[in-house]
Amino acid sequence: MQDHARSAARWLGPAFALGGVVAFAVLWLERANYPGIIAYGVLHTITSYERVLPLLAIGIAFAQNRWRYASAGILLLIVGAVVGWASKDQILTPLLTRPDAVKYLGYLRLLGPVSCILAGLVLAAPETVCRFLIPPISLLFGAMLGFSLALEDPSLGQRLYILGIGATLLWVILVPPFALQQVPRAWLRTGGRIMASWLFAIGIMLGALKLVPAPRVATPVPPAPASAPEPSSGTDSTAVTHSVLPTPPSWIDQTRQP
Amino acid sequence: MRRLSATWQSGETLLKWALPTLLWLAMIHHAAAHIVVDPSAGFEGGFTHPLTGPDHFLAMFAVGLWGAQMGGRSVWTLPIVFPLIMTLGGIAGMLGLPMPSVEVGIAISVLVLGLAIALAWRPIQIIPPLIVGVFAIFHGYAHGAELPVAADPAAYATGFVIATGFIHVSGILVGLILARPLHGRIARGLGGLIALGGVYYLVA
Repeated sequence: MQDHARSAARWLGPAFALGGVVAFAVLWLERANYPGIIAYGVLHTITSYERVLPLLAIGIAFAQNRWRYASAGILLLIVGAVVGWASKDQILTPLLTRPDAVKYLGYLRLLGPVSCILAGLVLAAPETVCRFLIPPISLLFGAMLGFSLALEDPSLGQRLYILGIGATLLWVILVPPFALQQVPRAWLRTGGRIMASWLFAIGIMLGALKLVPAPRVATPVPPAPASAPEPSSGTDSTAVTHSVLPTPPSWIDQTRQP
Repeated sequence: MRRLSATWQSGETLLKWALPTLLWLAMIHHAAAHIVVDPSAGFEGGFTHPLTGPDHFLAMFAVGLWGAQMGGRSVWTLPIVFPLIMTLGGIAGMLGLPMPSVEVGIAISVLVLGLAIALAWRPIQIIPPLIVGVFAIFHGYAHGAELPVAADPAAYATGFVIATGFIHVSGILVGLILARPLHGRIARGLGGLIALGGVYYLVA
């Protein structure tokens, strides 16, 4: 009887993982048929690589540690996420009232890359260090996750949408500790280190992408009508043709300064 | 004994699948190292880039295989060094910094890594990460050059890093399975084939 229970417990984790994957696949295939607002919350969360990958990595870090550390980490992550979600206005309002608000709002784009690097740090750390890193990083990561989800919430706080997000996050964070129970610890460590390097790489790449300006792509300019007047003197027509900036209409007095 | 036999059997089964797959992958693109600019690329584009370019694929596979062949820490240090240094090359590519002969660098990486496996070269511990790191810059540059023009650069970057990781892991698995049969000669043979691929890319 005890063996049966143990055997069932062994398959519970993989079944939990597989069930979630099947559910996501069904929702993804049904997304055009309006599967409901919960489904959109789920899909919005699961298709965001910046969130799912670090979350999965932290889940694997939990799987590498004892249950008491893992459960404390999960709890702190949830608390952090709730606090981050709830404090969106408190964080944004002082930022928006500053004269250089654009600069500070720009830094918010780095939340995803920083999350990746933090998760990589937890995953790459030796077991003894990891235990000390789990509580603060879980809390910080949860707060960043909750805040960024609140920032991009298209439903403006609809309960069903938040339910979808919450269920997805819980599934992602719980799958590794449950499903990887049977994997030998040494393999998990090796896999974890390799995955940590991916997260560092993704984090650095995403950070660089958000800081490096996109290249200016020259857009084709429609041919000028036959009756159009000649450009005024002093204007380089070649430069105008290759510029991405639209030519100002003729009725704008360009000599006037604002 | 039973475990050894099981490893043998799994090694043979894997070989049956891995060798034709490798050959098939090598035939997909017979052009030299590719820097393809696809403005519609997202996660899928990034993920398939290392998988459909045999030059990238062979080099990354060789990294995992060489690490597994050397054993010990090298099993995981090489696949960790590669993506980390690859990001530097990627950023250089994004910024459009001049990088001479990226395609030649990638071809040489395939050749050198293949030769290292074929000769079962086991240098002192610092050398393999250095070699892999230098080559990773070229591979990263090729990916990074495409990034800013991709439709979803973040998804593209994530895709190619994950695909790179999966190729490393597949190289490690194949290397660990082939470590024992025929005293590792099958793995060395694979290395020889990879080196030949490198010669082809250098000449083509």
